[in-house]
Amino acid sequence: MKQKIWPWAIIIIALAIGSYGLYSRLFSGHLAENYGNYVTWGIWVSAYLYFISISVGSFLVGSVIKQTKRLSRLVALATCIGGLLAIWLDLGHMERFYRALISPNFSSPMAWLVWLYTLYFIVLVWTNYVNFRKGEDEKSGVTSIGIVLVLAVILSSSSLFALSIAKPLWNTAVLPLLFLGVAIASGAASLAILTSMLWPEDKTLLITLKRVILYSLLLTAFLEFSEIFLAAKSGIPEHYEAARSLLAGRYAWPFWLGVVVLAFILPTVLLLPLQSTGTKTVGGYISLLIGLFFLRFLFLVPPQSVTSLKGLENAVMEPRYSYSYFPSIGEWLVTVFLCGLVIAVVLAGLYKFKYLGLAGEKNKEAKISV
Amino acid sequence: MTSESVDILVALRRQLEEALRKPKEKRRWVMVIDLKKCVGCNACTISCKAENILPPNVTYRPVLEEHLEENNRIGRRFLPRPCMQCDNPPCVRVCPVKATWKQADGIVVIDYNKCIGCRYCLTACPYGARSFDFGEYYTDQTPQFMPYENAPSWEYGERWVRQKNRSPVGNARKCHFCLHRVENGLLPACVSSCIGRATYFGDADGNTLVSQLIVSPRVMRLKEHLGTEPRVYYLL
Repeated sequence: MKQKIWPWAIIIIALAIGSYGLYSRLFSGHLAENYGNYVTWGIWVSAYLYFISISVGSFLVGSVIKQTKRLSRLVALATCIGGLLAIWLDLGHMERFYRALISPNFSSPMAWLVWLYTLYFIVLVWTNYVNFRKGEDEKSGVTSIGIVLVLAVILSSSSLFALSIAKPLWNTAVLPLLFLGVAIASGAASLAILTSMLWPEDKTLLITLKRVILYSLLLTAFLEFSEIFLAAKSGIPEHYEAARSLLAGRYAWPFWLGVVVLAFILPTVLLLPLQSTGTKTVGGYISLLIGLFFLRFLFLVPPQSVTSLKGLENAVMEPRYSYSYFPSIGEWLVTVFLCGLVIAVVLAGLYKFKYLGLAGEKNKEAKISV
Repeated sequence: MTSESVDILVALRRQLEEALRKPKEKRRWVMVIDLKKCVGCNACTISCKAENILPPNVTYRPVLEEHLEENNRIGRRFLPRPCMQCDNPPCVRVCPVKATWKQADGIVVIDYNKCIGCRYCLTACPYGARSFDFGEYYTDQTPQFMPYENAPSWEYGERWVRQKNRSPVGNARKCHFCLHRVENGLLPACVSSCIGRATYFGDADGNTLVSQLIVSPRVMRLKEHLGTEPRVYYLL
């Protein structure tokens, strides 16, 4: 990998611009944010879901496709940091997060997640330490523990929504599988971008990753449309309204453009045929990653935008009792900061990779396996 | 008018004092709202705001207004919506830090000093009855900040003065049937201020007015199919 300045320039700009949002959040609390009492979780929770998906997805993919194992651990750690920071900033009392560890309510999926993330984070730090400092592969026992934790995170994070009886579209059994599909697609796409940069000549590896992405994308698309189709046809007004807002309502353009085109159609077009590589396929991966952010955002916000009681939408004439939501500048800036931070950690890790001469080793391994 | 006839509020208050003589776990607080009597004046909303010194964007008891139209006839219906104090509360189940629970007397309470402000309870409530305290003030951006906004509220029997980064700012908040008043023999603010005498409050165990009303054939509860077992009953 050639050392280029432009990725760092982008990162520094993202961190510099984003730090204003961070400053605003840390010193003014939640005053500058646009979420409210009905749409209570906004773009930061979407960012959390997104980054955690990439993290657990890349861990899973890296555990199966051995050539990407070390790379996956780096991506998993960087995105896990981004995801946990996003959700930490979203708390009303950030200084009290430890309470979920010392006084957990285990009937809450959120409490399960706090424990799982703690253990998962320890596994990630350990595996990266072993990979980078010692230059060794992690023990298979650690990988197995990591896989169990990853599956538990996927189940718990989907349960966090699926167990909610209050929100249409969330309360469905397809969520665990949908979360698994999104995780594998986004994790594999992240690894594929890095693989294309590090080992562009390793066609076997690239094709394998591409195959994983396309299959998981197919699963994701099927489940996403099943969820919306069932809601639209259920005849239950709240479910129907949530589905309608996606298909033809206020969220139609981000849904059709962001999810359908960027997450599903464009990547499929750009990734096929399987043997193709180069800029076109990297474009497909990038399109997929952007599209899956839309998918996460639209999974989260529209079900909260449907009134739970007739008349509630006009009952309180105060701005935070609103069913419409668009992130504030501060929320966008924090999201930009988090993206910059995640990419910075990955790039810093990649330089370490180069230092270890890992790219060369992987090429050798790839050739041997071929 | 006989000597027995008293204002409904006086009767409710007497029954409240009687209920307070029982141990806490023997009380079962319920609220009954007669929709025929509600005129949509919002006095309950305002008195609740004043009683609990509620900031902007925190409202415990809005009054929902529904417009009905049929055969060129127009009607309006009002529905006050306090916290339902569910017997099977989804908000309690999801709180990751045990900051909210159901008391023996049936009131769902929040410990502001434990709440981490994750707002999971807000998304879990099917009635939209919880709000988040963003730390706003009505007169913050005006030439003069009004000191009443920093007056203490006495929710849950404690003294709460809103300050930046201190609870209840950054917490989930909700109606608690004015527990601090009730435990001192006073009716909830919304009940006392109701000009139509549409809201009843009391102990469902015993020979009380509310215990008679909740078995009325006119009674309904919101979203009963969800199994939340609300303790707020509406008379149609």
